[in-house]
Amino acid sequence: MTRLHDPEDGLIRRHYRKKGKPQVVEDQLTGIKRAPAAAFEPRAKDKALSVNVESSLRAAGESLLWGVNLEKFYAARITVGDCEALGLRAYHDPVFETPEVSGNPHHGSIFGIVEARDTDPDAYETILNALSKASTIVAEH
Amino acid sequence: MSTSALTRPYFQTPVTPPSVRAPRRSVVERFRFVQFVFGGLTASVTTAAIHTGDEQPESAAVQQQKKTVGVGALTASVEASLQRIASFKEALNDTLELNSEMVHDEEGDPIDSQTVQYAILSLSPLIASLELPTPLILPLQNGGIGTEWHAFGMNIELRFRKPYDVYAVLEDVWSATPFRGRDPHLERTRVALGELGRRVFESSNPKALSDLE
Repeated sequence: MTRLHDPEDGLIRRHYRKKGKPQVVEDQLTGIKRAPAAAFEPRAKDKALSVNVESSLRAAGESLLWGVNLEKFYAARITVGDCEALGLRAYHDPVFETPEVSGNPHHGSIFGIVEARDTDPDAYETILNALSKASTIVAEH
Repeated sequence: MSTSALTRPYFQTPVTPPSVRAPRRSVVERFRFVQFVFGGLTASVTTAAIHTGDEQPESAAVQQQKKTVGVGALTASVEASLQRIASFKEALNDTLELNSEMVHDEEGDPIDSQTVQYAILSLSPLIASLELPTPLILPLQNGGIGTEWHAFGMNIELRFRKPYDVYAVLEDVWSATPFRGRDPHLERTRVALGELGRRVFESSNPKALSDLE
């Protein structure tokens, strides 16, 4: 697991479509399309928020939508700098293939969100707000 | 079926919607409240007609014309309310369907039934009575449900984590003081949604507004 330091490095988070449509909102203060806060919630069982690391994808010549099943998901992008600004820590955290788990060499983990959820619910909501606001939608064409 | 809601005086002091205080009501009670909202709309139109009596005496033809216009406005208003509720219900059903898929994929937790009931009972009266667009409704982790409106310069995001545990983001491009915090009884949210409803009404009824002026 390697800590990511480049603030411009992208972190790609997938989120479910509903009825085939990306659940994208147009922020009325900025006019920019972004993902809703729900896209950045870790599951109850998670220890960190899972993402794909843009620098790893680019180094392998893959697109930002690598591994994203576009029939079910769309993808949003935040940066390492967005995470650092919130006191979160982003890591390149590859998942190695096992009989039970399919591997993902581009997997990353964002730490700090789960801790906030479990100890400071208001801070957790603030983090979700900020990540949602900072996000952009990865173009599909 | 009780008709008391329909005969309530229009000028009766409004009370906090009972749905907000008591989330676990039966379906029958819920419909009674929706009926109250519609009752208010009925009285509103009637009251507007009564006001004209204080001015010049009117011919029977003019009075009949106003009565016809009043009934037409009422019908349109009720139909619009029912349409908004129907759209809300459809969006909610789509969300529950998506939640089932997420649970199946082990990507989310089932939406908590008490939390979704609380959200429905809190929002239904507002959706029925205000000219709100259909919200984006999303499953949240840990059993919560989110509703969002992004329109007419306003970002209104509600995260129903549990009954009475609602986190709200209320932002307005025309206001320098956003609200981001807990709004368990939707007091601040109600004001924001009222403002959004006003903007929707203004955009779709410019003539009605100029007539009022």
